[in-house]
Amino acid sequence: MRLLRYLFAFIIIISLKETAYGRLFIDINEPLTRPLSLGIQVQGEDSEVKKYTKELLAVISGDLTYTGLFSTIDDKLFLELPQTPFKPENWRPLGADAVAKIRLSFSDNTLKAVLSLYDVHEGLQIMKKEYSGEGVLLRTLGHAIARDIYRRFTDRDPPFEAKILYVGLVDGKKSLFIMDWDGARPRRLGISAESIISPRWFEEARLLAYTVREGRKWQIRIIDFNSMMQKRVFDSSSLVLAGDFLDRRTLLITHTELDNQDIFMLDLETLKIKKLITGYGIDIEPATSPGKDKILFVSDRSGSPQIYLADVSGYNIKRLTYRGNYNTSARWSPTGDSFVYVSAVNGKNQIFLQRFDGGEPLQLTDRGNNEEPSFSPDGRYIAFSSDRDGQWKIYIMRLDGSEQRPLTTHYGFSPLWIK
Amino acid sequence: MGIVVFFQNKVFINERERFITVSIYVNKEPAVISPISRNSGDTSASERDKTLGNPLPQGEISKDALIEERIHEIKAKKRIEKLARLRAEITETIKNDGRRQISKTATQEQNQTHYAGRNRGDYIENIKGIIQKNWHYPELGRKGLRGTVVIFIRKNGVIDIIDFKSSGERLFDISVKNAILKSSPLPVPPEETEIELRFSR
Repeated sequence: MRLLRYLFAFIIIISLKETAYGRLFIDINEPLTRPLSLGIQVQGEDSEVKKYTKELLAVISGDLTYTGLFSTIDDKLFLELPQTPFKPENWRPLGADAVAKIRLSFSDNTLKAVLSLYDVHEGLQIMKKEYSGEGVLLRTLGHAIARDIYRRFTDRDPPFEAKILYVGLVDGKKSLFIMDWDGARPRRLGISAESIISPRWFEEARLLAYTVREGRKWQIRIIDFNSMMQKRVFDSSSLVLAGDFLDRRTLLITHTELDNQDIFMLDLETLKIKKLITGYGIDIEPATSPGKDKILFVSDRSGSPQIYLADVSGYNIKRLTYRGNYNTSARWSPTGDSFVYVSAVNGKNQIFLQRFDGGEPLQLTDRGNNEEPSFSPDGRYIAFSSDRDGQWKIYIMRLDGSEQRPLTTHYGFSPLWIK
Repeated sequence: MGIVVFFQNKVFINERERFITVSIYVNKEPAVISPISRNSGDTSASERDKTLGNPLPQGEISKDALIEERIHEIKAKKRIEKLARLRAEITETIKNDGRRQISKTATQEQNQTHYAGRNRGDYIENIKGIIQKNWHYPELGRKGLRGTVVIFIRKNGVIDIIDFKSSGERLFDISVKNAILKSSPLPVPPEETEIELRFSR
């Protein structure tokens, strides 16, 4: 009896195996490129909120379409009202892949929203989420909703809620400003000086380092964004520039000694400096890797300013750029696999992207002067300054250089992404 | 179907903005089409009926809403006709027996007659081309993703999905399912076949 049972099991196993081996495979790669087609509907529950629905829709739609992964369907084509329950057959003719219905209401000084997200092909609701916030923080709400829709489809984090810090101009003086990633709501931080340069951000401790120049006096200051307290950490009568943070206690700086610039480490507690990279010629603009184990910097030791790589110990210095004879402003991508820098091309400054694993540098800009590139936290977007319009403004572009657009209508320089 | 409720408190710098979000998830991860069990290679017709595009079961809708809906539907129908003329894409038609099917494009109709009786190799090449042509994914999307779908091609070319292995990204999965949906019905196969499609980018 037992033998029979074993035999039976053996036969089953054999037959299953044969089925697995007998199947045909087809490999399909390289899809045609087209974004996910999304229908977004915002419904205002009462007259109080009806005036906000358009702006909310614009924020969500603007965020998602700028990523290049989504396209939104013109609402003139919709077959369903926002308040009508979702039916996939109303959306399939429009070629929709997904639908987001948002119900907005306002009561007791609280803005509330309910997001319902649907997969048109499955014909299923795939997410439902409630939001509420004090006052009317409409754009913040829009970015939160866009973030959740984005995450649901890509399992990645978008930059929609990040802010961009930059140097602006007020009454002839430079001042620090902060705005939303889409350029909305620029507001001034209470710091102004004759000249503000080189802001650097340290996310883990939420510290901002920046350089101020008044006449012949240079100063490095730190702002703790948790307490909004400011501290002076270095004074000099010759050029000093804040570089990247190595950790919450150590800031890399460019410092002038005997008419020559070198890279130093500044201890933010003892306020003492220690030389890190020195050599023939000037060494400036240190930028640390995401893992904080390597640095990029600019040096003219070869005869012209070029981008170099070194360990954080200051050793293993390697030249990285060989094209062009004026390369500066190197910044690491948060993903760690590439960096951007500024190179002079035909008398104008342009932004280039270079992968660490080789290949030719990719020129991302070609109109006017383009400088001070800064990566978004997810590494997919670059904010930069450009004078292509006649005045220096903050611009944004995707990693491949596409969709370049201005974020400020007024003067802006040295953009810096803050999560 | 579990319900998860949690609070998220977000405080932003300089603004004293506060955002409290309450999340209620329903249908946590939608069950994609579950694999059909096989009994010695012979599967009944009822199991085969798991075609694509099952409509969502209707919930309760009030009469007023229904009427309002009808008005909008009629208005929108006019717009749709215009849209269909402008877009040479796949449109949905409702057949007399009430079942929904994807209607064929001109080329597919041609292929429908030609490929019956042709050898397997040619047929595979042909359907690979059709599905490939119907597969769209954003240029700026993730690279290095792979998704596997096992399909069964019926005698009349209609595709059944019998197994689906996610790529790990919903966007990719949607694009793959969409490709198969648009390709159904395929040209009539030489015989009913089960095929594993490996999508990769």
